[in-house]
Amino acid sequence: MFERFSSEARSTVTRAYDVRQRRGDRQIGCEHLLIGLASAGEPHLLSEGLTESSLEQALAAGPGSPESDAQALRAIGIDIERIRDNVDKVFGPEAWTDAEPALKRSGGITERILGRSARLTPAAKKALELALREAIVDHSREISTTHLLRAILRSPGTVVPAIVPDATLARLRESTRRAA
Amino acid sequence: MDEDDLTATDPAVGLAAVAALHRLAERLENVHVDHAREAGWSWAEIAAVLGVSKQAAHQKHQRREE
Repeated sequence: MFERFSSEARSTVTRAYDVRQRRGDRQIGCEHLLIGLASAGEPHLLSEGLTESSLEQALAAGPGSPESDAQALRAIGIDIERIRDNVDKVFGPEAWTDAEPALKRSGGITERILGRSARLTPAAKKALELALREAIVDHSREISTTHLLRAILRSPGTVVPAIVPDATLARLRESTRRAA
Repeated sequence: MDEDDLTATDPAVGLAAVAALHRLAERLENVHVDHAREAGWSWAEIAAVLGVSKQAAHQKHQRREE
């Protein structure tokens, strides 16, 4: 399928790989592809003011971040700030920070041996397939960055809606639908 | 994204809370395992209270001591 990607779309995937590596994430997801698109200068994203750095910042504050965890726990009645204060009070001021779980692993043995073989999440894989379908619908020989963006916006089960405001997502769906 | 969207029936809220709880549990486990080791507990004793095998506890936490 990659041979049908335009050179910009191909560069998006390479950039998504770099973003993943920089963040220490295990797999390439739609969020990495989206940041890859912004970094490749995808015009619809640019016109919404979404840049590589703004999206990376949003991702850093997104699901799994301390802010988002605190909010998630508050919703079920747990005050994580109180727990953190207690831990630091009992075990020393750095105890909480020092105990940060190492949940992110920098890739398995296969990846270490084969180098650039980070795997796509199922949602990202699905988005690439969708992008191909978008290109076919457009009677386009090439899969463009816009096809890719359209596919990412349509892919269910991604963190993209958590890092891009709803209104912006709606406008992007509209603007990418018109012109490919 | 909105605070108002956070209703108890939204699966996203519950799932995010569970994921956050896992991270919280991991962190607290680190805190208390470190503390137990400093207090001279053996891996077997720690594992027994955590309800895991001695090997599992050792393998998971030994790295933190180095």
